[in-house]
Amino acid sequence: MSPTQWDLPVELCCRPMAFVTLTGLDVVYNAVHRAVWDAFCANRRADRVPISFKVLPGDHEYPKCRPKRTSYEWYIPKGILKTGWMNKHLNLVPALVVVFYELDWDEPQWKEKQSECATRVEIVRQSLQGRNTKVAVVLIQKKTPLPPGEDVIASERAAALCNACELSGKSLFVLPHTDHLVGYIIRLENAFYEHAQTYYYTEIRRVKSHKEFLNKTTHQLLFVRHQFKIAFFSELKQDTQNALKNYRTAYNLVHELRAHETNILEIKTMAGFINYKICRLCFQHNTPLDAIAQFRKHIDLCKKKIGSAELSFEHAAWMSKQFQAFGDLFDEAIKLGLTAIQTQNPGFYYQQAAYYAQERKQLAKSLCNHEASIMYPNPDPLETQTGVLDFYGQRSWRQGILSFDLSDPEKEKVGVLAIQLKERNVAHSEIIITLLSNAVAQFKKYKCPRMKSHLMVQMGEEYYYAKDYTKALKLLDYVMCDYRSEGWWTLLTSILTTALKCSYLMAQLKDYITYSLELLGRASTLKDDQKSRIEKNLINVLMNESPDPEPDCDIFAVKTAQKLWADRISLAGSNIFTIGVQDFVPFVQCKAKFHAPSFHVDVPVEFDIYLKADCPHPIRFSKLCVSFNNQEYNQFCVIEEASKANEVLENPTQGKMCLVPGKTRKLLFKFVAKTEDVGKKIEITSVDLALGNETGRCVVLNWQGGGGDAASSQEALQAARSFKRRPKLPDNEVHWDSIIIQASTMIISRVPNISVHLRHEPPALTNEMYCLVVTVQSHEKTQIRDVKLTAGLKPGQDANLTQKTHVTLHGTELCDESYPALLTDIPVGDLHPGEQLEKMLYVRCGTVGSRMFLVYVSYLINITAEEKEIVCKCHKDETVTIETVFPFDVAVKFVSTKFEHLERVYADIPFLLMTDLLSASPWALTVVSSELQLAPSMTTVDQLESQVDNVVLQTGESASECFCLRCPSLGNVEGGVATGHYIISWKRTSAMENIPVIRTVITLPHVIVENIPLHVNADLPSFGRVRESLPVKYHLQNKTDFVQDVEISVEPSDAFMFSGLKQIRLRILPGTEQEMLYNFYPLMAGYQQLPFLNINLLRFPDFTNQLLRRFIPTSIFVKPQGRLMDDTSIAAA
Amino acid sequence: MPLIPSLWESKANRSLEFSCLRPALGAGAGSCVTSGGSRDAARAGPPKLAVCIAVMAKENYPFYIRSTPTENELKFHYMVHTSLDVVDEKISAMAKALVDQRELYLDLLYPTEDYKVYGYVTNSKVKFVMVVDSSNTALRDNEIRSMFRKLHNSYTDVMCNPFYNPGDCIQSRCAQ
Repeated sequence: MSPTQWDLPVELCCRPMAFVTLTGLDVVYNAVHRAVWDAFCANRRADRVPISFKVLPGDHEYPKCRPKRTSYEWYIPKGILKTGWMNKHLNLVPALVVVFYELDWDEPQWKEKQSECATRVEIVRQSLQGRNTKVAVVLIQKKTPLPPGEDVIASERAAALCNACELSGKSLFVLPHTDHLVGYIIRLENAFYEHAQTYYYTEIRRVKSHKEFLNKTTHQLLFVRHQFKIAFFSELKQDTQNALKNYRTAYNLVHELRAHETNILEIKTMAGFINYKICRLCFQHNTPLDAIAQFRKHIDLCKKKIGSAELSFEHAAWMSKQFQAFGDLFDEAIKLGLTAIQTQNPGFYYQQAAYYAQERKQLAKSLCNHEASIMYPNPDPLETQTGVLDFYGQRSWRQGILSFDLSDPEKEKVGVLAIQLKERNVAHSEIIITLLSNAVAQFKKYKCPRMKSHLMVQMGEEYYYAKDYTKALKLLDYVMCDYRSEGWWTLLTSILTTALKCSYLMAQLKDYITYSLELLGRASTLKDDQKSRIEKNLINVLMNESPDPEPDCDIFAVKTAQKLWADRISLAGSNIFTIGVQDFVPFVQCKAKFHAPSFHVDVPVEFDIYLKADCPHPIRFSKLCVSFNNQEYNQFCVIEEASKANEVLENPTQGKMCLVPGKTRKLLFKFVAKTEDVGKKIEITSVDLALGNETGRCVVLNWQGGGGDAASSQEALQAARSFKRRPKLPDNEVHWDSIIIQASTMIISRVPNISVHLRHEPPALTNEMYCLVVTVQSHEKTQIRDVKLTAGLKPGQDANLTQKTHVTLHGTELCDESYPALLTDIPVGDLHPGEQLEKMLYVRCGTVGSRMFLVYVSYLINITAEEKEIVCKCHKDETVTIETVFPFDVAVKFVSTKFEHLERVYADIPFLLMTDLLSASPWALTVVSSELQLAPSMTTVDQLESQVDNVVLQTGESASECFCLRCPSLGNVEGGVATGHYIISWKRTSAMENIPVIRTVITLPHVIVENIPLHVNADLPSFGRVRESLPVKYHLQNKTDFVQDVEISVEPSDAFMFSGLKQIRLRILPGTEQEMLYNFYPLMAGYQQLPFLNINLLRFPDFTNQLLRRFIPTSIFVKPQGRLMDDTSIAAA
Repeated sequence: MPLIPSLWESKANRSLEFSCLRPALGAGAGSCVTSGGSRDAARAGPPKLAVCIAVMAKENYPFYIRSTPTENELKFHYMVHTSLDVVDEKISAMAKALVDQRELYLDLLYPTEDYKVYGYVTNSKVKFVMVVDSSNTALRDNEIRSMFRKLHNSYTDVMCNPFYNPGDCIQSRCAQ
């Protein structure tokens, strides 16, 4: 029996197809025949009819047909199904034999050819004697046939040929060898297929016809056999529905058979076959649930049919195969488009198959543990004459024996022994691992990560049993982290235990140590005695000795391992192992904690390292070192305890580095930070704890950052959530859970001990040199050096401010654009304790608004920290926000000589420019002087001296000036005429002498200049007196280039009598002036309306009296008639 | 989380926790799953027993896991652990449903050849898993549901116990 005994036979697993043989084709030497054959074979895709073709010689001997049984009365079947039967009908007995023959209808030697063809058919018929196999003839012709009915010779000769060959017309075909060969071939094979179906139909009928001869007592086996055959023929006929129906019946019949220890294997084998067929067809019909239901039923029915107890491993093997085969079928169906789900996928079947394979291994182990002296029986009872069994599932030493009694117990014993000895050689682990890995692949696909991990653990364990420790470790190591991260400590412990065994047996030092560390740790659920043993082994390994073997290991493997360990000892070098703990849970925990989140550079940085061991016995470490991001500090944070190798466990409670289980050990470290690290973060990058020393073996546990391993983050979370009250501990002890890792700290500069004061008078005025007095006073105990001042606009504000702010130390000159906004590092020298210095800063702000100013004082001081002289740089900064405002508002207006507001001025006619300077500064301002710079188009009427020199303006006060100007005619200017600039030179009244004067330039508004045709001005005294003559002279100037006709009339007034021309019409030549003289005689005192002068220009009707009134006075103050005496008395008073 | 060994830190503390837990989980889980089950068994036919019950935290680590055939404990641990695959999948499918229509009982998670594994998840994502012998036909859906409900009540009682530290493993003396 081969190890593949449990594999299902190929003929069962294939898809049955109608078998058709082709004869008369010479595919080797005849190109035409070759082409025909190729057309049959090539491209047999799903759209072609399911036929399996075979080329055979015309005289091929087909399997002989046994003579027909006329009665079943005395027939006793020897088994259920013959091993050769399926193959016979798939590959040996054709449904149709096709005779190919080259013959054209117009063949000259027709008669001869016809008879040769008939002979060939006859030979085929001879060898198929007794079978229902059909025969067909195909004539290979060179010419394309004419449409049916047109070729008279053809139909005649065809009929003759059929007659000669005893063929029906339906079995004669013509194959013209032309271009459309494939098309003809497809039509041919469709015809063949019909013939084949008829054949299988008759076969089914034939098998069915036996039924009536059978009886239930002796022919039980035949019921199954016949039913199976019907189903199989149905499959060949491609009638899968009926095939399924018949297989189901067959399946039920199998279980009706009387089962006994002697035939249980045969029954199970057949049941397995039929079940396979049913499941396969169900998947094919896309009814997977039926397939699953059938399989479940099958398993439930067969699970308990173990058969012979001595060979119970066979049952397990068979069960395993059932599951595997179903898994394969399921998987195949998925590949063809079926969708599986998480809880119903092939993985479960592979897993179960693996489970039975494991059971098989267990059973084989207990049943096949024969002494080595027991020899394999000779002659081999498993050997048969033909090399194969006659019937499926029978014992080779009692084939065909149906009796339930064992006729020859001795022979039976030998047979069982042979099977058991054979079973011993089966590579069980290999089978199990293959099945498990199949399952893993499936579960991976269906989102079952934990199931996958579980199966991988099983695979690892199986590799361990198979002594492939490398693979075992690889698998176990891969899944360990899954269990660790989910906190399933029992499972993790179990995996670690196996892994430890593997690493022991391979003498893998590093792995051995790593697993030991974790098995001793808090994640391990091992009992204390186990932990003690592991700890002892670990110490042994560290002292360069061999550990004791792990329990339950294979004795031979242990022997090999011991040798390996012995070799390891003699091997020098590579005895230091660094193990990163972040991925597992070792038996020592570590937490680092800086005392503060930041330290001043002048005080030592302090931190604690907390250590806690979870192993059963106290343990001594040899070295602890802490690494920082700045490696210069590493040297200060090392604790080394010199001890001999054998002292690891001795004197356990003494020494800093000896950890007592469960007790938290605190180690304090201190160092002075470098001044370069001010403003930087100091971080603990790793903590290394060494166990053992370099003379033996040494393990360095490496914690990244400030400690913590794979389990600690979860623990910390839980500790934070917990509200459990912790019992009080002595002062120097702490609760482990309450320690929070703090792996980094900031180094900050020393606290400055100076005061910085700012004195100034806000707000600043635009463009002035604003004075800021900085006072620095040292309160340090020692002299401070290198005091530097940085002052100016605080960086990071609006960029425009930088352009418009300038800082200088020299207030005597105005600063311009070239001055910076921030003065940096102005050296101020040294300061003795208590000394004070003052520094004046001048700031010029070009725009209004608020600005932040920064004054930053830095200095150096020598400090002693931890008996170390260090130079500290300290600094203090002050910021101040200063508002800048306009010092004054300047208002300018144009008025006429009559002080009337002017919208526009008239060419050549004098007007007044009035400036109004309103102080807006909260501080007194001194207007040093003012200046009017006229534009070229303007001329002055009189001097332009400043009228406000050295005027002091308090807040809200104003200073006004008035200038008389004239604008010559310029024609029409768009947007008016520029007037000029008004320049005010000013400073704060409080400012010192040497502070420069600020010139503020104000651009005067443009003014619209208009020409008028006639200008009238009046010469008259400033007042009149009642009954005293008042001479008034009007000057009329023609401003045009034309001669003007002017009508003048004077309207009488009640208050005046007058003399002069009352109404006149005159002409004024261009550019000339006409004078009109009047003598007014006031009649009443007070403010009186003058007699109104009406002027009418004939050429300029627009020139109205309204306009005229702008230029000439309309009223005058008339004093009452005075008395001379009174006058003198007044004058005297 | 405190690992299992850390529970044995303080003896006084342990005994306190123990005596307080007993009425809680003892009365509830005990009567439905194990000790009470055997009482029923004496009265009526097949034993109404689950082979294994487990309570798992939101983070999927076990709070409490107990199986009756103690010799093969590891197998049940694996079985419960692998069943979390299906629980996770069911929870994520459930997340789409409306909160108040959520069913806590997750039904049969998956059948193995010999056992049936049932699941239940509380609103705070604490998972209960129960393994039942496949041959045990006395336990039908309704019985399983009510067992889970009782287990949930017991769990709630434990959580209400002021001496219980959330996140620790649950101790119960009732299950033999």
